[in-house]
Amino acid sequence: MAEPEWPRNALRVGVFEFRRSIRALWHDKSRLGFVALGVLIPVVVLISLTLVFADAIRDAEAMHVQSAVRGTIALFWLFGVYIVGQRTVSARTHVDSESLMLTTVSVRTVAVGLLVAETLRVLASVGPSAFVLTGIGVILLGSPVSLVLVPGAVLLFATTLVVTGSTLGYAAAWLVSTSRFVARHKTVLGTVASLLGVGGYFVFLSPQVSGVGPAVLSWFPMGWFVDIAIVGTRFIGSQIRAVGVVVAGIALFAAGGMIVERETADLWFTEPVDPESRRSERESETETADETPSEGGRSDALTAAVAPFVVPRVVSVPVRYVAEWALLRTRRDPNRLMFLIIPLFAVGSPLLSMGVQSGSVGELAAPLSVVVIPWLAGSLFSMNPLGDEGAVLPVTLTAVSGRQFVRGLMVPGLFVGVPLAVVVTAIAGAISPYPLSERIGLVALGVYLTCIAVTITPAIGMAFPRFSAISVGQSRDILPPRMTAIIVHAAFSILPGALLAVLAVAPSTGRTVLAGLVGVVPSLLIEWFAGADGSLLMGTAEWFMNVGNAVQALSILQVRLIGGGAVLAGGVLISILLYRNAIRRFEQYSLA
Amino acid sequence: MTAIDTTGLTKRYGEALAVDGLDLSIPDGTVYGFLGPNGAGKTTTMRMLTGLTSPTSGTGSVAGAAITDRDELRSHIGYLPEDPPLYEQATCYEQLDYVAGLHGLPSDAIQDRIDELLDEFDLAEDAGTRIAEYSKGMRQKVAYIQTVLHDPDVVLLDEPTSGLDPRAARTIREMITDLAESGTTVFLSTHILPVVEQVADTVGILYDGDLVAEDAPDTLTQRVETGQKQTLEEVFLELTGTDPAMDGGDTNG
Repeated sequence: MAEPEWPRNALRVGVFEFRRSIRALWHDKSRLGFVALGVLIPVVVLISLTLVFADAIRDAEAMHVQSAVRGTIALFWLFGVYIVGQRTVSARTHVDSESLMLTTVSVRTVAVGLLVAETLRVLASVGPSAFVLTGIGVILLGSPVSLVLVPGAVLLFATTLVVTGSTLGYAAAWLVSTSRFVARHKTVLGTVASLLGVGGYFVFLSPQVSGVGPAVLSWFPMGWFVDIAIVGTRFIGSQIRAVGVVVAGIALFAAGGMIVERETADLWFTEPVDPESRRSERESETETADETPSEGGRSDALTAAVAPFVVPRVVSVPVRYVAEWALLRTRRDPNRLMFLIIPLFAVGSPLLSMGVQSGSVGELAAPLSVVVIPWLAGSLFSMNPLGDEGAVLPVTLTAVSGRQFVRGLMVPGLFVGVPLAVVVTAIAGAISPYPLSERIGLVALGVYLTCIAVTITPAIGMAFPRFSAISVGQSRDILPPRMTAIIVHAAFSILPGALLAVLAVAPSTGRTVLAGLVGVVPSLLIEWFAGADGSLLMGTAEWFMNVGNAVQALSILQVRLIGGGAVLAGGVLISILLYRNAIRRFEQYSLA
Repeated sequence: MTAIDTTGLTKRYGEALAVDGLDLSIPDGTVYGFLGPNGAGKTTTMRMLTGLTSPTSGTGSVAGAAITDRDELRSHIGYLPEDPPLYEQATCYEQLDYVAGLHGLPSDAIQDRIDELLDEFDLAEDAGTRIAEYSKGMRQKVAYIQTVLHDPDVVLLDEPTSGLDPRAARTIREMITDLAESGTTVFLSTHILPVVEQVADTVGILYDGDLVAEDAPDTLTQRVETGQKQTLEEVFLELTGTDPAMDGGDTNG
């Protein structure tokens, strides 16, 4: 039972939590900048379009709402549900100051308060756009009721998606909290869920694929908000749908609210399962039965903890320790990986979308996997090796040699990345139109690039370490790698990797790119810097241009051998230098 | 009247036994000093008494409310955990006003009480400053104030003097005594034994989930066999250490 005044208290909790979010954002100017851009860009675009097409909108004739419009709104709603669910399960499973809140007010108050806070955050994001849409309805379409109905539709849109997203997010958190299997594999399961969610979103955004466009979703009631918003304007919607979405929204809100209360009551008062305990027990039983002392008297708790991954026994003990810790750290702190998933989606999604829309997924998938998997393998485990050690760093510095530490950091990337690169590239190659020799070449290239990307990471991570946690929302701190490290690593792994992949599957394009890189681009840059009277530099520019022309004149075989060979050899040289650099950095590192 | 009453209160985490059949009977208006080494089960006990953790077995009530009935329990208890539950982005005033509001306290009356408590803890001048800028001691004071703000029947304090300067620690000690004199029961967990010695009416010592001793401080420190007076620290170390003299002895009070 909740206290009698729970609605008022829930509102108080929601407003207070929202104000805290705003204050935290205000104190983090870079985050504030990104959020402001995300809010303002749609507003600016909307206002610009409105100004350009104001007369056309004003004079528009009556027309029916298209299915695609309802479907697109439904798709946005589903995407919003995904985002809220993801936020809930990754960073907001528990209320801050939990002991205070749960001994002061009821679970219902806290749960509903958190829903209110999240709804206010969503409204703060979409509110300015909704304001512009309301203005269009009232001023350009001459509908005074838009003053109430557009904000009302937006409010219902936001509350239903928040309640649904939170319901799913808490359900996932509850599973992590109660199922040993889910707790143990939450990173893998979460990544798969993310890929399915974002993949599904892009499938619907690309009607060229199997005819599945947003219009398919027009039956879904959460797309019918448009039928409320256009009431009173010249656009013709469906009154039944308008009523239907209100009824469905209220039902969803009530049912979702009740489910969230139930879920949170279970989640907040249940001791989470220990994903390692059963395995540890089994391991210890096995050890007792076998009476076989482990290597060097070492307990195998760490080995058991990283299972099903296995760092082979041929790896010497100190290196294996470092490798197993790196594996375990990545698996137990998956929030840090969001900083890798964001650029992955930012770059990968448009590429995927482009491939889908041009019907060339088969051609893109293999070269893309050749570039992305090595980058991921390099980034996952050792992008911030010194910062990740935290308070243990002094112990680590005095316990292992630089060579052992750096090798230990490389082992997980190699053991996870190489098989993954082979399997994924082989599968992608199998569905590609490339001849067998190129498929085999791509697989070999994937292995090579994985080795390079993994080898160069520790030095880059040590050159740009992050020691202080950053705050993500509320008061939750995480320690991701520095953005500089991520960018430098991407530049050293993705750019040459992409060039090699292009040389493998589209050599003439690769030749043009190579000619541009070594000839045309430097030549143009020198000319630009030199200006009109820089005769000496103009000679240099001409020389570069000739080099570019010479590259362009090479045969495919020559460009593959010379250009590709140079990049391959350069990669080996740089990785050796950075490997040694990482060892030196570790051994010469002095604590502040 | 009994403020805290438990029978066979037990908590297991998987195979690990955190609290083993705890029997407590703490009268109204007294201060109960709850001692024990790290990992003895003190915080688990406090979380069970506040309804934050469900017991594996056994029963208990606080101020007449069953510890499994969180809704009934809420209005009777104030809980200060070891890490002060505060919002960094709020000012002290905002934090206290928020908590008072959640307790449903009338704003006019509570404002005087907040001001009075802020004065008492030398926080009045900084009450408009963000908690993020507070020292550890100042945070502890704010957390203490919000714990007693709604005048609960039973206050459970986990290391309330941790991080406080001697003056503030003394203020808290005096507040605890005042609370008890006004009829509030205080369940005090701390490592600072002199504090317990000064304010507690009864001391319970928890070791490995077992209540190994329970008595008035004077009685505990008086060695029965020899009549020799010990400090509470000596008693504590003897009961929770590996003193051979204690092996096999039943000291459950």
